[in-house]
Amino acid sequence: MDISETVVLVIDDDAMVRDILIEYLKSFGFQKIISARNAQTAINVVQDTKQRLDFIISDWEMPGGDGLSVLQAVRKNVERKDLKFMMVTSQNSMERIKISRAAKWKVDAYLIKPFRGQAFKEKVEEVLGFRMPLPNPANKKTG
Amino acid sequence: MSQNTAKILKPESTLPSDIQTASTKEWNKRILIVDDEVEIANSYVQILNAPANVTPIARSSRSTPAPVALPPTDPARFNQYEIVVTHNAQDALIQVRRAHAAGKPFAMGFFDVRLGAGMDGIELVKEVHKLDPELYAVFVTAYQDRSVDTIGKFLGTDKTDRWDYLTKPFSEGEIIQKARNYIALWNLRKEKEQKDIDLAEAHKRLQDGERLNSVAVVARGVAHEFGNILMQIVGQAELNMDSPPDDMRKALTGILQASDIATKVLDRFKHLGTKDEHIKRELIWAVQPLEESIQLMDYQLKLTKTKVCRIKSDKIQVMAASASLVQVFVNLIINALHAMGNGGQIDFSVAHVGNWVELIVRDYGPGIPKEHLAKIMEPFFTTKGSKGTGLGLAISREIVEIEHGGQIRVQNNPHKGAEFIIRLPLNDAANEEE
Repeated sequence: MDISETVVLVIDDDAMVRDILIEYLKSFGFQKIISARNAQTAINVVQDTKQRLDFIISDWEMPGGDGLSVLQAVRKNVERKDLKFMMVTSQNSMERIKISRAAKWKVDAYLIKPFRGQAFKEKVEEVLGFRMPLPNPANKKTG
Repeated sequence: MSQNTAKILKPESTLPSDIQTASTKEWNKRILIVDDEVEIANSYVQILNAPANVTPIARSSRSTPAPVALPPTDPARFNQYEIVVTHNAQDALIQVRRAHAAGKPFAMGFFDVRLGAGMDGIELVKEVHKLDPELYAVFVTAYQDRSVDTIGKFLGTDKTDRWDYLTKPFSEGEIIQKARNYIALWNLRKEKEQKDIDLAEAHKRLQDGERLNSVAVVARGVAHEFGNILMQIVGQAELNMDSPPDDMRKALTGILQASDIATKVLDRFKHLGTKDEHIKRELIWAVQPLEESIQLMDYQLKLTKTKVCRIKSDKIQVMAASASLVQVFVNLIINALHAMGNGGQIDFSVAHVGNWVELIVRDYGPGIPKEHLAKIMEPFFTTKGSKGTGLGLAISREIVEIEHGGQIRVQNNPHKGAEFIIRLPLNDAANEEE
């Protein structure tokens, strides 16, 4: 898979966090990044099979619907069911239950906020099964 | 009159232990006898501890050892009581004071009404109760010289259950029965007191636990917020490590803003209060604990897309323990969210109603089934299965009614949902200028 062609969907209700995730992804070499601020918008993207999608990174807890509802929509969709899915969440006492519930729906990776770029990068590589080039300042756009 | 003729007859240590039941073994079986007639005084000892023979004690012989008791007729009754005999009021008071100070008070006493010169038996008991208010007194007299009413009035209404009356000549059975009854009553009352203390202690622990429960709900929200805040700090720092000065300055500003938010989130936690703050009442704006609760639950409210409506916010002050009330409102908000799921609405209202401030929390969930309405504030009642302790509302009720002298009731909103109405009594002076 060519990293510059890989389409990533980033879902997080917190605009700042969403931007930071996108910036990290750009620094890894991703160029085709789309984003959603809630589960319903994300599900609409998932249902729209004309939209190319290779990888989803979603927050767990969001107003309205949570990340699990997006994961379920993906796995239930015949054309999307093998899509790579990474769940991102904040540490709290419910983590164990969440991990087991997400595992049931075959989540590919699970990352707890906050995390450093290196850890994020390694998870992404693990999920997508390829090595990414070292962060290149030219790849990212600040501001 | 005799002086200093007190004498203690201790139970014999050779008494077989199996004749006493386990529950009464530790009982206080100390009895005080006050009668100026030595022979009558000693006859109590004989009746109660059943030795066949008791040698009368010579007057003013403090050092004379107790007479050797003869074999008893009934081993179970033999020397079962610790009896102190005195012959006048002064000695009786000395004995009561001494016993009470030593932590070995008398459970009961038989008091002759006519004690010769000076204080009579009834006046004596009034003094005795000043030293030891728990002692049960049985008056014994040959004359109907004082009516039961007069004694009652003299000793006071708070002591009506601490004395009894017996006329001479008494029978052995009457003495034994009175002794048994009042020894049992004294000890059962003590046991009950201890149980009440244990219960209050257990209750407090439960209450602390429930408080922590609502803290845990708030903490989950805070944990999520902190995850995001730290993500912003870490991300902006890392992504701008090699950025030009302008971008770096922008990132640093962002980091400072995130830190400010973190500080605010932490501040909110303070409103949950410490254990001790929960009893401190002071003059506060009635709307304050409500607003703090909404802030504390901000994350959960946003997550569930719940609309918050402030129907009425009267500016009114009330004497209250803010941290306790925050706990009540957090609890009500948690319940409302639980009842409504996503996308609901909670109405809040603070209104001045007569001598009360009325605080209302209303949700638009399914309401409370009629059969649950009466029980909903009872301890251990829960509809949340193993998720609920059934203590939230019971403790809320206690905070409102007992801590604040207020009222809490629940009703179903005619349109939809449940409505909790809390009334707190107003301190008139505080709102006079309003």
